[in-house]
Amino acid sequence: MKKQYIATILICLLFLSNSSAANAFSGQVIQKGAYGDDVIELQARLQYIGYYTGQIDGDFGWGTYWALRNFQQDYGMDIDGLAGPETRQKLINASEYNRDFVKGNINKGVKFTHYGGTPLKNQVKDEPSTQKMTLPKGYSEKDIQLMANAVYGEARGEPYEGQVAVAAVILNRIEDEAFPNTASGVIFEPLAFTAVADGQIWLTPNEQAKRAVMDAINGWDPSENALYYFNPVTATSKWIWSRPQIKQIGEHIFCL
Amino acid sequence: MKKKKIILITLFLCAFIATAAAAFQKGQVQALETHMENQYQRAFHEMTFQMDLLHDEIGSTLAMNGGRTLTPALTEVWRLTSMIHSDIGQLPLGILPFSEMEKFLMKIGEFSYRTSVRDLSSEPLTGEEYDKLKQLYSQSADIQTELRNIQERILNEELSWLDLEELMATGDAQAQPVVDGFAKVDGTVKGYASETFAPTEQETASMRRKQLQHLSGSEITEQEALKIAESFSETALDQAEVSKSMKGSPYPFLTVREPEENFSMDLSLKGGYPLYLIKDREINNTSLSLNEAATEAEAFLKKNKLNDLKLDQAQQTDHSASFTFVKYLEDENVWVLDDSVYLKVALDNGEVLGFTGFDYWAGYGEIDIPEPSLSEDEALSLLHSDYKNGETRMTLIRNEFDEHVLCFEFTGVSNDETYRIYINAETGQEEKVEKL
Repeated sequence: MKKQYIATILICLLFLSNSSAANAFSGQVIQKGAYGDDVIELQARLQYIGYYTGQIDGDFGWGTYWALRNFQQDYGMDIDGLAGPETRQKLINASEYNRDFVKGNINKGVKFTHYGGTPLKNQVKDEPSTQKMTLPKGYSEKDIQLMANAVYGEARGEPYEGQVAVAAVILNRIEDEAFPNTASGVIFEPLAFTAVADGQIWLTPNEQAKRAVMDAINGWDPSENALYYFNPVTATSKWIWSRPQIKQIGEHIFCL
Repeated sequence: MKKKKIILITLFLCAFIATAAAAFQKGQVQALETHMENQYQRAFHEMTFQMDLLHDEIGSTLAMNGGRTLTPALTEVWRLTSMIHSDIGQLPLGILPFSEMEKFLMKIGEFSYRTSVRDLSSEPLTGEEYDKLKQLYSQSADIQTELRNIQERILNEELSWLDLEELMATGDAQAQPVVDGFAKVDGTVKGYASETFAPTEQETASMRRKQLQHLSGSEITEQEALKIAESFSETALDQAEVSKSMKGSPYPFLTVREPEENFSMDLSLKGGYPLYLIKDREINNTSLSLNEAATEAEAFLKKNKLNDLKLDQAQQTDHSASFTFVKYLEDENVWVLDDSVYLKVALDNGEVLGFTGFDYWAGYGEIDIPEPSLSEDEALSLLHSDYKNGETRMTLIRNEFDEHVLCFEFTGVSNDETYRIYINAETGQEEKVEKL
């Protein structure tokens, strides 16, 4: 009796895994900026019929967006750049998706393509795929890394809010005309940051510091437009006390 | 006897090695210090030299009258201001009041850039601009003299920037001649900027916006702030503390904090407008799609009566999604890109973990949309023939001179890369090109 029960479950499981492969797509509306398995399938299918020529990486960027719009145009749909039910169905009808091949190569981290009509084994290159991080406009990966280093060196013991605020101060300085115009210029200005002076900036930052930088770049500013901050307990400079103070977050007073 | 000798020799050797090592180390430190000192000296002397050049170059623009020769001279002025700016950034002036000088330089730079990119043969310098140059010529002479005085002191008294740096780091550099010199330059310059460059209407407007003075409403109490925060964020804030902004803030605000929830939110004192919200927590799985999260974000804005916003950008990162919403004027079909709101949504349950409203409130209420004088096709015809357009929107953006301009925003592909190009809808000028 019990054995039979287990067997039924096994059969169910088999059936389930089969059916998900056949139906494909999880049912979500896929839009630009999305990330994950559905995007991988979308890219692979668009590539199969020649619309998408970029790397299949699961990151719905501009390349995928234009490919999808061109597909929608050619198949007489509303051109909105969204992969809704109709678009997905038409795409499924028009293309094939070899999931094992695509996912296998992504996991191996090699360069590959998924065009229809070409034998799959000819589409794998024996070189590592290039990972491309989606970056905010106007900042390089190294800028963000550098700012994360500065935030970690300056404020790693602070609440998250305080870390975002430190990152925001760096960005406010880049904007301000009295300071250098680049992230590196602001960070390495002599006497600007203690973490630079004592070398703590070269500690390896954690994920939280990077998140704080990204949030600040996106527009969060807990410092309320501050240009300076200091720790009232350890600050040795008299001058810094003369600045107009805005607010205190954790150990730091933020000022103009 | 022999033993004693050996001990003596060993002792002597040990002493010798120790002294040598110490001397070597000291030499190393000294070499490093000299190296740094030289870098500071270079930056400073280069700055004073370039200030000389700047003065001369402004002088030569005065002597010219034709457009063809004036443009390169003005470009040179612009280049020199940015070089001086960069040199100042390399000096340990972190806490010295030298910001007026830098602001003044930026103004000169902006002025010379504006005039140099203009076609001066068809649109020559106006009398007002010429007077401005004359004024700059005499002002730069003053700055030059002051800087030369400092330079002379540094050279004559063999002052070291490293010592200066140390003094400044501790803040007791009061009676230091160089510090005084810089303070004097900065003081002199302070008047110049306002004298020569009267703030334009745009600038005063942007200053006013920075202070959020245009927001209406009565001052809220701490109790009211807490209530607004609770209903805005849909979070129960039982342990929350409310504090007021400090005296130096250009716009007073209240901060609501709940350390248990890692929650913090700022509201403007006047009217209780939400300026920003942060709620930090672990998000361990993704069960919503980006599209569903966008719906959550839209519902959140609607619930909080922010109705004129439309989704502009969405980005999914590890278990969270960030959205930029932009003010959309339905009647005019115009997107006001500056007036934006940023939202962060957790992808495990759709909770809003972050909100930024400052930009939206700063631009709130003062929008004047001009009539476009170009059609979309006319604007498109101004673009390069290789460019393939995909999408078009009407947008209001701030150009490099900080002016609000109505633009056609074209997003499309050129050489396999996606670009966004802004064409001024009134003049046809290409205002901005972004690579995406």
